[in-house]
Amino acid sequence: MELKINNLTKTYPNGVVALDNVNLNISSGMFGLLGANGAGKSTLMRIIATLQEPDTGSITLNGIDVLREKDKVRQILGYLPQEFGLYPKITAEVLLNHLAQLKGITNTRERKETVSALLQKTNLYEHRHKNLGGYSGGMKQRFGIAQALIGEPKLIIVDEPTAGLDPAERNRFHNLLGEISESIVVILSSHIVDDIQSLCSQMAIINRGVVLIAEKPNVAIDTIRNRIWRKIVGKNEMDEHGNLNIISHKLSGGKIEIHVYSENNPGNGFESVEPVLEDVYFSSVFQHSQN
Amino acid sequence: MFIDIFLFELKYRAKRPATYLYFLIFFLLVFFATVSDNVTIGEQAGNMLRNSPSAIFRITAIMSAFGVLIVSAIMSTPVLRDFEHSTNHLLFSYPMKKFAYLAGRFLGSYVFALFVFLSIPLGILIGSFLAPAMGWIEASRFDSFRLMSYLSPFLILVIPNVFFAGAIFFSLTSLKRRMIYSYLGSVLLLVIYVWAASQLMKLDSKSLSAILDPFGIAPFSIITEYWTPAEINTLLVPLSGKLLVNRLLWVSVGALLLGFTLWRFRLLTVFEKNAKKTIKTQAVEEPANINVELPHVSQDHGKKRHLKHMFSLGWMEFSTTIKEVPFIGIVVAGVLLLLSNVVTVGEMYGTNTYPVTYNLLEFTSGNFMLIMLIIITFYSGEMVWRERGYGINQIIDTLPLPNWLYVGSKVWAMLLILVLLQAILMVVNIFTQVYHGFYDFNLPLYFAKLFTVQLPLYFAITILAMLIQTLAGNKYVGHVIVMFYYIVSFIALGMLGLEHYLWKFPQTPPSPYSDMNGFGHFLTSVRWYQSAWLALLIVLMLIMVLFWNRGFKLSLVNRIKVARSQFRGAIRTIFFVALAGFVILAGFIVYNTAILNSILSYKDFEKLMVKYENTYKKYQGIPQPKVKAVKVNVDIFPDERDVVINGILCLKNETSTAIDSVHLVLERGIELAQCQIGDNSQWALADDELGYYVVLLGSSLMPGDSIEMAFCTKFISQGFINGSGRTTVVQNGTFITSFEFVPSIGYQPGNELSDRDKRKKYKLPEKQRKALLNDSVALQRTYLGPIGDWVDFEATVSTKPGQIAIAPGYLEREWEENGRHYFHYKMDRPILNFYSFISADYQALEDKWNDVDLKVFYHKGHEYNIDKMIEAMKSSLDYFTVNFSPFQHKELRIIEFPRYSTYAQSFPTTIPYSESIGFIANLKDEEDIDYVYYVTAHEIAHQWWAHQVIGGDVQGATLMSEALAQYSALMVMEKRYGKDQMRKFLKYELDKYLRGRRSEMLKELPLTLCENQNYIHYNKGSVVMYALQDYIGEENVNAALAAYLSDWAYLNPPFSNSSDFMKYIYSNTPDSLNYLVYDMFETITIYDIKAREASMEQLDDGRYRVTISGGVQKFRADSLGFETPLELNDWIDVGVMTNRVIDGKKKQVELYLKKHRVDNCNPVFEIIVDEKPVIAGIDPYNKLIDRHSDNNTVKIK
Repeated sequence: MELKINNLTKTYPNGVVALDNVNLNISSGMFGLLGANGAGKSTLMRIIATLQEPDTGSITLNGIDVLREKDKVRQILGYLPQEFGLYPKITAEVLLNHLAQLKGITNTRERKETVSALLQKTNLYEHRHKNLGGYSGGMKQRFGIAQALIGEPKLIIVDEPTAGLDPAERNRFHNLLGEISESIVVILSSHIVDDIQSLCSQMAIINRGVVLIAEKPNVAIDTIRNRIWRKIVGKNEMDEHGNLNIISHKLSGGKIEIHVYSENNPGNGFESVEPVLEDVYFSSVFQHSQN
Repeated sequence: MFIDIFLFELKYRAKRPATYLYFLIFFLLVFFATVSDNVTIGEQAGNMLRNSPSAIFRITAIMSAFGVLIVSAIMSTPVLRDFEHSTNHLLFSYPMKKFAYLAGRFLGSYVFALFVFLSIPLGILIGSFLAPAMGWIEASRFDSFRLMSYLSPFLILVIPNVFFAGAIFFSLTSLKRRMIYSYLGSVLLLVIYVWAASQLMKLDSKSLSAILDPFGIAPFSIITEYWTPAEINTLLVPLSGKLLVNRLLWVSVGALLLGFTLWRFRLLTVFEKNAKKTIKTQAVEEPANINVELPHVSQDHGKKRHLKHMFSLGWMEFSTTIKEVPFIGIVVAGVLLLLSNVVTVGEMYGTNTYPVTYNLLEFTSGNFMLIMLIIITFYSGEMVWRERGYGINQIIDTLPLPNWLYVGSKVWAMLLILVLLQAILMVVNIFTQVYHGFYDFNLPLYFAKLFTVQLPLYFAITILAMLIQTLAGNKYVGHVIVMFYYIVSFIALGMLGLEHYLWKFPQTPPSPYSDMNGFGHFLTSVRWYQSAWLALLIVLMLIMVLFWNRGFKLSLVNRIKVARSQFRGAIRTIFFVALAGFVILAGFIVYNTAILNSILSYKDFEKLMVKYENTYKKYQGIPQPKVKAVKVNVDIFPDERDVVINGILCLKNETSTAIDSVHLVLERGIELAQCQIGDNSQWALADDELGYYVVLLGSSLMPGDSIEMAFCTKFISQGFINGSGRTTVVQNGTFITSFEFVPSIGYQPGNELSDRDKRKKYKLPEKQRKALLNDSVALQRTYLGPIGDWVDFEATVSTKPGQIAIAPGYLEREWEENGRHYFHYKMDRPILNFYSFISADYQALEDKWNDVDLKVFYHKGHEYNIDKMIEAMKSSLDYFTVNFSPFQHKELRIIEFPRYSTYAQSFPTTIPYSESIGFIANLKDEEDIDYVYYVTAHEIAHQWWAHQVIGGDVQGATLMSEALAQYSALMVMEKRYGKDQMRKFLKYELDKYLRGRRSEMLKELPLTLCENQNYIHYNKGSVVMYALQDYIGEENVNAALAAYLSDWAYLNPPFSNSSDFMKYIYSNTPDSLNYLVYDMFETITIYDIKAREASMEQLDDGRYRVTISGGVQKFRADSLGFETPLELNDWIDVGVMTNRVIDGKKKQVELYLKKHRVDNCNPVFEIIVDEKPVIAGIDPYNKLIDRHSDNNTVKIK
């Protein structure tokens, strides 16, 4: 499976540039999209999921023109939107079964098995006879995951899938995705960097509609190895470092830990750190905003 | 806190474009109703000023009733939007007082809703200034600006209406947290409103409706029901009585609801009920077996599957919808509305008709249409936006299914809903029939009407509404556009003169059903239109498919792009095939309606009338010969709907000059195929457009000479027509008259435009409705117009075998020849030059009265009242021959004709009688008014009053025909049913008279000057003639009538006028009562009589002395209803009654009833009666014309 995105551009009527000449090649396996809120992740995912039209550009999936042959894409697509609702007066089992029907699983026995398996995998089996109106946020999210997996999709797009899940559920979901992603394309967006790092074989960082980096996570980390420096400073010492490339700062035990991107040791008490994906993200966003 | 929330709400509203859209729509509606004749809201009688206090009040009332939809849109959202946008999670966590939150939101929205309704007075106000200034409508139709005319309805109607309706919607949505409950609320209010409106016409239940009508229209109508034009134009509607009670009631309902809401509302985001459940189920949660393998599945993406899915999805949408509480609520409301009217069917004088299917169905489906339109409007929106409403759209939209499947499933669901509703309507109707003990259900008719005529219409409206919703991109905007569409299609098209049904998608021409004629020729054009609309609907559905909202917030440009990219393959092919189909079908319709037949709008007709008058008026009154004998051959072809008449009229020059040309007038649409007058005559003018012809005689017709005119007229039906077409020529029940089919001699002023305002608009001179009383030229002709008077008559009528053809006269011969059924009729004495021909498949009931043959020709199945008719014929002949004069004919026939017209009409020996006004009347209850008896006697009386003696063509002529026929019928009825029924009947007559004055177009006149005004010669005629015989005695009235007959019957011109007639009345009236005759016949005199108090004491001899005090006033009214008080010196009934049980029924019995002379306005009467009395009254039986007829009696204390 291979998804090719070429020169994709999308500008909203209010002038916001959601996607700016995006080019990506995504092969089988899990692909993580990393970006701040409003970076354009959801727009990109919706376009791939046939729900939105770009202004220009093209997308192909194994030779299928995604923008034109929407129906073909939909036949192999599993999609979990970032926000969604469900019919309140219907049970999980009934709705899942109905969606399976609509996805073309005509064989009753197969459909029953699929529904049952999906409900078990998403830990909803106990609640299958309950109306969806009574579901908690986490349960609803799990139902969303279940429906995205109906019918052996070849392309799965999940937008912030673990939002609202407790840590155990999150792990379970990660395992589930890992299990099925071997031969298919899974695109996952998140702003939780750890998720991407632990799950994805490929990833892209996107900021204000521009793809900053598209690499394997460890390759991306390698590019900044020995260039990230850390220092713990007091709250009022921040200004002293204004001339440095501070890519991030966070509170740490009442003091502030700042990370600086520099090819050489900036001295002044900074120490080198082993970079993580988060540093890749921050440094690339930092550089993008510098330009 | 409260102020902040209130101001925030105002600011929020001020930024919503919808608010201004509502304002604009209302403003425009009211504005156009004020400045245009084509848009009317409420009544618009000729004498009422367009901005009179009452007119403004009524417009405001009606707009505030329909404005309930806007109130619902505004007042439902203030709290609901916090739930919909989930801002409640934030807001409710603030330290906010419940009262401040609710009150602030409510009042903020309320103030804005009031702002929207300001559009009503503003629209009228601006219209009232602009219309005269711009010359759209004459200045005389407008009142000068009076602040209170505008202010009072706003205070009395708008402020309370918006308050309580707002309170209902606010409470429903705050507590139930779903918009749809608000729709339910508005439906309930409208149902109560429609119910109240339907009760208004019933004399018994109108008080209740006055109090319950939520919008105040019913109490207003009752308060002003007998107001004269003068009062309507000057008086403010008083906030008192029922109107006050009504207002207080509904404001309290609103206040109570708000209180309840304040008490029940919780600043919580989740209902506790649900929260508990979640906790419980969480307890049993166990880790799942996540290691289960996902099975391998096969997927089928074939097209066959899609169709199946479309239906199953549709079924799912359908079954979810009909289980929803609001849907059930709306339907239940609709059914209740229908059931509230179950008791009365086709009421006339308080008597029902049998609930025959067509009658019931027309009535109930008219009422149910409101429910249908509401459901279509709201549920089209719900259906199109359902996924988005639930937020599941992004999941559903990525399913591997084509757009048409979604559209198809929703269309299918809506279709199922419509079918269900129509089926419910049918069940309710059948229930109604069973309730009335009527088991002759016409199931094929139910099916045809509900499912093949109405359903396609509703379905088409649904598709249109769904398409609008799809294109609008937002549900609420969609609703507003759909409602706007209703308004436009009902109002604007007529305004633009676009009356062709092709402009009126998705309407079709009407298809009235008659038991006699079935659907007749009507269905043909309906089916063609339906086919054309179906093709168009396919196109619309495809547009809906192309523009289906799939995906994420697509901009218009993108939607067009997507639509264009999908416009290929099968969709494209079907689109063009359907479009071509539509064009071809529409072309065929145009060919039929506009080329084979001419299509004329209402305005075209007006222009033709104007042209007729402008072109040919100059010929009015030129010397013309008069018809003296008629001999016609009429060939009726029912199946083809053709009529051919070949006839010979014998014309005589009764003028003193030679005549060299004959002018003929014939109705438009009837072809004058041939006309020869004497030898060598030739056409001088043949104007088919205006139906005016001039024939030049070969040689002049000298005074006193006669000549024969041979003519041939034809009506040949071709194709079908826009609208109903000629309903007089039909497959079963053809009923044509000489007015329609035989050329009249000379210019006919009756064909001129008569509406006063329209005449002004077209710059025609003002026209007298009738010539003045003593106009000697007009007295030369009868009031039927310049068509001649007495003629010899002979006719041969042929029709198809199996039908009977009837004309005035006696049947001389009946035979079959060349596959045709012939009847030859001949009259043995001259009759008026006005006759009819009828043909249908009849049953006949025959009887005899002395040597007169009596016949009722009726449609099989309509046997209900034919015996009653025979009985009425006999008793009428009994009474009239004894009291008036001998009957001039040897035969009398009642002939049923289809219900396309609803009257009976008396021709010599023949009385055509509509199937809808007696043949199906339910007279099982002896207490009910037997209007069959009444109508029959009335028409038979016309054999005397019109066919023996007839007034000249001047004012007051109908006093001697219609008023006397009413009197004669009343006497026949009284002999049969007694005085009690007469009182009941006269109550209706008095009511109709008083209502009639209100809507007089020009001016009210006394009976003796009546200008063919129905409410005067029928209704006032009944009341006055009955009172006359009560005051001067029946035998004296009859003596006067008999003397009038013997002096004036069958005379040649000049004909009598009402002052000739009144001489006979006066000469049979004692001098002491001359004032009464003068008051009743020659003036408009109104009494206001009431009994205030009555008390009694038992006397020593066991008898009772009753003391009655009352108030009596007498007024003289002018033609607009301005009243001046009169001195009293009048004889008025004083009565004392008690209750007795007679035949197991409680009845009122008179102990005393005598006329007393009353000469002061606060009279007191002392009366001694033998028995213990219960009720006392002054003019207790309403013999005098009294605007408050219900306060003439009191209980004795």
